[in-house]
Amino acid sequence: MSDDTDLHHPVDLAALADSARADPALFESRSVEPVFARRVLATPLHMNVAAESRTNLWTDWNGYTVAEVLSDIEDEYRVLRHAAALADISPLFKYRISGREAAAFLARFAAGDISALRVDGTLPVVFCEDRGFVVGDGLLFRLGDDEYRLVTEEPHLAWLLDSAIGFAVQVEDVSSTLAAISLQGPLSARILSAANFAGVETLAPHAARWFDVAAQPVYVSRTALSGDAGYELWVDPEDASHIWSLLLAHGAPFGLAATGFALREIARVEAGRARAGRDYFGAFSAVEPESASTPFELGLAGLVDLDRGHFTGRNALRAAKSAPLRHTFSMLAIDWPEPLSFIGIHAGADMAGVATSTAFSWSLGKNLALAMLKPEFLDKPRKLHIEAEMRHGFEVRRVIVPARLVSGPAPMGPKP
Amino acid sequence: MSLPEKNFDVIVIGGGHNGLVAAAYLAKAGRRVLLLEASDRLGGALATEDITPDYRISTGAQMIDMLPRRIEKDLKLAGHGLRYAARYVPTIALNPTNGHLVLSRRRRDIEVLRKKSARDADAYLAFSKRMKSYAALIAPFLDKAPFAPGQSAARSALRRLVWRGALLDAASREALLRDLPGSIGHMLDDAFETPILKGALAFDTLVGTAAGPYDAGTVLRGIYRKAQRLAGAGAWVPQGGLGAFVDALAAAAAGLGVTIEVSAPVARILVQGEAVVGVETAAGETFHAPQVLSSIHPRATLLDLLGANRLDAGLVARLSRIPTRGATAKLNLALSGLPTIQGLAPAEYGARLIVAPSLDDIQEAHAQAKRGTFASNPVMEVTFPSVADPTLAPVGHHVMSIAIQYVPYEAEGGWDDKRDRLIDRAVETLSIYAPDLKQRIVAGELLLPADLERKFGLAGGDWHQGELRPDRLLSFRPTPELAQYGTPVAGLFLCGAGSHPGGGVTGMAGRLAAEAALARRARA
Amino acid sequence: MQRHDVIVIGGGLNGLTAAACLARAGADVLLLERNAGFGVAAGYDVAPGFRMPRYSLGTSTLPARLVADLELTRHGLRLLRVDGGVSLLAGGAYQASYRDGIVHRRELARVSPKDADAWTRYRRDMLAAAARLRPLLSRRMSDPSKRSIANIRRLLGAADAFASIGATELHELTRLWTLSAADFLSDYFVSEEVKSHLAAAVLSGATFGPFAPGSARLLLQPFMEETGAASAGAPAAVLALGGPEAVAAAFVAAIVAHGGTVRTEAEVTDIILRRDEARGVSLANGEEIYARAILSDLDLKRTFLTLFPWKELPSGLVKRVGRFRLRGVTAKINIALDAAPLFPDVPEGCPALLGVTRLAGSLDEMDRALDDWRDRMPPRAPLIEALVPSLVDRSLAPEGKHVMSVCVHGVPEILHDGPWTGARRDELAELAVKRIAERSPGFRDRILALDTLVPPDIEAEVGLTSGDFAQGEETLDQMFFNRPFASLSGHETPIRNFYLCSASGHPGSLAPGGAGADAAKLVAEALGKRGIYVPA
Repeated sequence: MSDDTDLHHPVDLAALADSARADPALFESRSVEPVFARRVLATPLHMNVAAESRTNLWTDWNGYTVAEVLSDIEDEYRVLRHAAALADISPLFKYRISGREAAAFLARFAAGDISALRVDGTLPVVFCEDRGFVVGDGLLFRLGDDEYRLVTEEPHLAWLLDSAIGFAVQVEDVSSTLAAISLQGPLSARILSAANFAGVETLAPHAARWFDVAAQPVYVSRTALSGDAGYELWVDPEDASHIWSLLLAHGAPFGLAATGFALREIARVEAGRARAGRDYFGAFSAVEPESASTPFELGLAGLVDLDRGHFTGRNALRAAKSAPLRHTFSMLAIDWPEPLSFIGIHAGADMAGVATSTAFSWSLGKNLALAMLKPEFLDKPRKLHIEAEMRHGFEVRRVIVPARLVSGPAPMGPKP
Repeated sequence: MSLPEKNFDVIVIGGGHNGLVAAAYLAKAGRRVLLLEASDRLGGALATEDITPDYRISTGAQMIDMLPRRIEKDLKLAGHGLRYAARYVPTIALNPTNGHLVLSRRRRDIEVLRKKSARDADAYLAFSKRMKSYAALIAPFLDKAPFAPGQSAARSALRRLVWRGALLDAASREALLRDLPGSIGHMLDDAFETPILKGALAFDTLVGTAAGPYDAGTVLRGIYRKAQRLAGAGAWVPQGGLGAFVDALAAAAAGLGVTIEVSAPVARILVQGEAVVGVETAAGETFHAPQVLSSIHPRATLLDLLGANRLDAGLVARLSRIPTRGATAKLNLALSGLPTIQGLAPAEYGARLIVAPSLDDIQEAHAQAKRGTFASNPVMEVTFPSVADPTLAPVGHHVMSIAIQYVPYEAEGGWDDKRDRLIDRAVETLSIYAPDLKQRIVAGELLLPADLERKFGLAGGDWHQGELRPDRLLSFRPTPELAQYGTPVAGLFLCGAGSHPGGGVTGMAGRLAAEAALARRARA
Repeated sequence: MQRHDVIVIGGGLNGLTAAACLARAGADVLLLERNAGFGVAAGYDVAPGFRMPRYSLGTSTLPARLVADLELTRHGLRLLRVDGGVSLLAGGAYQASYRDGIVHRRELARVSPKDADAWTRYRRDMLAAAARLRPLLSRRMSDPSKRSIANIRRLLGAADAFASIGATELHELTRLWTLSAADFLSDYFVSEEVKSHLAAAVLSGATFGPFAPGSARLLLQPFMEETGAASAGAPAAVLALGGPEAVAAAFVAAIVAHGGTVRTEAEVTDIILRRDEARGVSLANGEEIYARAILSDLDLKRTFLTLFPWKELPSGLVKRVGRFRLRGVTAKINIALDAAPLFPDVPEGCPALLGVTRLAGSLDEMDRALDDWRDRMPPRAPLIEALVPSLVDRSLAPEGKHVMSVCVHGVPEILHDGPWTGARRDELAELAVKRIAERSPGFRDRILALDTLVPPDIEAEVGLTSGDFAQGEETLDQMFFNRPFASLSGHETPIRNFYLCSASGHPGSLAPGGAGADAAKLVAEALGKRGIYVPA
């Protein structure tokens, strides 16, 4: 290779970011270009994120290409726990639910009680089908008296529309008309303040409201995967790039850094939160009923209220409540000083379950695993062991390490 | 409307015959029952009405051939004025060329057939026997509530079926397994060679459905209808038409203490907590009862009167997709005299006459209806009710009932300009047999599927509140979760033709739903 | 005197499978094929240098299990998976099937975002139903009409198994097996394009339209080979390198490798009977060959009505054989092309064009075509499938040129007003060319050679009665224990040592090769070849 290639020529990233912004089609699933032409779909923030990447490590999230790691996972983790981490979460699915009977519709749709959700509030919800199996989970926003937004990990338009039969309600998929930025970490409030989100410090946990920033309206929710030290910003795709740059610029003095999907996964595992499609199958994806789950089996009993009015799956869940669990979603902590590659979970000679998500928590110095366990092993947690694989060059070694059952989210690093 | 009494044990919505039967059985068991009918008369699709003054006819259903004798006795219908003008009405296949065929196993009729085809004469006896033995397998399932699959009742019911099947001879068993999932067209093609025999037998199986003769599942339908008829006493015609039957039923119900209100459409089913507490009428009146039975279409009951918010979304979606596809139109004619049907003996004018010369004619009519039009030679069932019941028309005059098969609910380009053409086609086709028909017509009335929907409240003009097809029979009728008459809301039951055992003048859905409601109450 | 352990008559897929399984089990197998090629797999040159399957479309339906069990890859078979195909719909619209879940989702969302999501539930239900069906395909049917204690016990077991399926799933299964494709699809999808595309992909060779009750079960077909592990997209189409004749060649190599013998251009004319026992076969050239067991891969009618003198067969058997419905519905048009066809309605480079391209029209048109077929009318707007295997396998045609394999469905065996003549074949070909050219500008000018085969041609050349590729209409009254009829559903016939191994028996075309494999197992047991490998 000759020396004078263009490879080292500095690229004008700002211009690239501008060109991305000028092409909203990149974020449109119904664009004019053939569907097969581009398997790499960019979010409105793709170029902004690319500009921060020092690794060129990317991954697929709901069909979009998002950064896996931007710098170094351990650095990113430290930023999250001690400063603030910025991330592009635009690939989430977003649905706008509006109309006279929107509240009644959601009361029947979600398993929990949503009557306490006020305008500019948010509420985690789980929703089931008739058999009481979880279709999906998500975060519900109330944007107005008759207007809500549901944010989910997997697509649910068909089920939302089926559920809307008989209700005066409109359901729209607004996934591609709304970009999303997550700002997480103990310093995130101060960064927002510095970036002229005036009064952000008064925003209560789980609350949301509109801000005018540089003449652009931004909807900010104080929502996070874990704890309360975080915000999510919901913006027009056209404005996303600008807001991102604004946050990066104002956040730099606080140690803000852009982070990738891997960090989000670690934070999620630390918070003990199941991700649809990874830790559990939605009821419409589970081919056998055995691989579908009730909210109780996912540890989401707190999101179910059997005693309010009717909701889809209630009758089945009443029966399920007294029935034995078929599997149970749990968190395991494994004392091992470096990230492990899991093979199985054992209890003596028996297979006790399967690890669905794993992460190494630097705060705890432990490996964490989210796992679907057979319920009989919950009673004898001491017996649980993890089988893991360790590679050194071409050598593969198997290790058996005791695992401890953790109840509730892992206690994390310093709070703001 | 104002009633002094507003509290009842049970409220029945809809005064069709299933609603009346349910109400009567509940009252007989000592319940205080209120029956609310939306229109100004009872009976739903069973009605005797004027075509034109002095000419009266059963505008909807024509005969009673599936009503179990037990219901008649339990409710003492004879004591309430039910008389029959004709019993054991025979069925005759009209032949456009020569020699009509009486479909019966009487030796005389078989010999007529034997002259056409010796093979078919023997085959007919075998066919009747076979269908009857199949029907006998199914019949025990029709007079009780369907079992719930996945439960022990399902296991024992299926085991019983295996044992019953084991009693059949080997040839019948082999035939049953092959016939059951198949089409009536293939079955008849295998068995017979005479076109009008095949046409008439296929028509009998298919009348009132949108299914075609070569559609899978039509044998099952035929067996099912046959099993329903086994419970009845034969094709009987009430004196005064089907309206008179309704009058007797209503009198029986009233005699048992049922409070009957007509012109009282229900607007809402009232629920408190998780249980039914009553209904509210369109006029804004409320009536209270811990149990409500609805004989109207399951979809209308649950989605319109109860509301989707009390039901699971999957159930609502499935209910909303129950196809309602009426494909039968009714043409009622007032005649200045009996038309002359060539080759038909005078005594035979009281019969059910089938005009379906061949399977191809039926197939063609079916194919046309799928495309939103109708065949130039429609297939039909014809009766002259006034032959047995002269009270229906002035002396010497007659009324004629014609069920025209495969008439689409929606016509390509709308029905407006096609009504007359359909009447013309039907009359022209009938004139092949009765050339003087046209000059005898005094007045007539055509009821398309959409008219039947308007007039009788039959969704889609479907006579059976949901087709009799394998995914809507027995434990699946109207849906698996609603098949035992109860609904997810305590105290609310379905009791119409949309529930097991389905359409036809049987009253069984009403009776079985009443039993389910009584059992629930007894347990409570 | 020539003697073998087993003779297999007919080298269709089931005959080849039976012979290969038996050879592997250590039997001395002789397979006799009347033609130079093997059944519908036969290939030929439509023009010099243009190689293609003469009778079949050219996609492979071989179950992966069979390929693995018979080690066909070791014997030269190379299968290629491509995207599932494209339907050209009314008004210039199209729908394609992609294996990639995200791309497939976007394809559906192009016409209906709701349908894109509904695909998840549809796929789940199809995979669940396929999982229910799969064990039935390798299970030998036994005559449920036989009254024996064992039989009743088995039926009771079946009743229990049936009763233990939950109400919802049983209902779903009932819907799938009894509803029309149109009704069934409407439970998931709203878009006419999506429904037409999914129906068109499975209606090839069907004798009933998408509005006919019972047609919904065809929708299972593409999912039978799906395991559910893939990326949630549409099932793939599979092509064999070298075409179907290469598949047959791999089978032959497997048979020969295990000591079997394969003879082509060896037509069996009679079964040699001693009392009610089959002892051997006589060939058209007068040769007589004896064996301990004889398997027929010919369809039911051809087996019993041509290989035996009727009088020697039980009368009940002749009657049942006569009643079995075989109905040809497909014509084959083979085309050599000067250049690849263009389909400008579909974006250039669409990878699904490597699969089957279907001219489908609406559900209504597809249904009407089958109604016309029933009336024995020449087709007006038939479902046409086109495959250009040379896009994937360049060895099939000269550089830059292509072969196109076309199946026209809804073609009656006999027309209502007379037999097929040369002129009427030309009319049919003209109709197909016209329909393709409507969507493919310049298509007509690229045609170098063209060959038309209507059902009677297929019967005459391949020996499939009525030109029925399925070797018997596949409606529930001719499937499972009713295939071909109750007392023959277990492959054994009233003639001792004589077995039916063709698709006229269970599982028919539900599992290609399945009847052959199961008949082989039965024969291996009868011959006492115990403990020797036979695929399950």
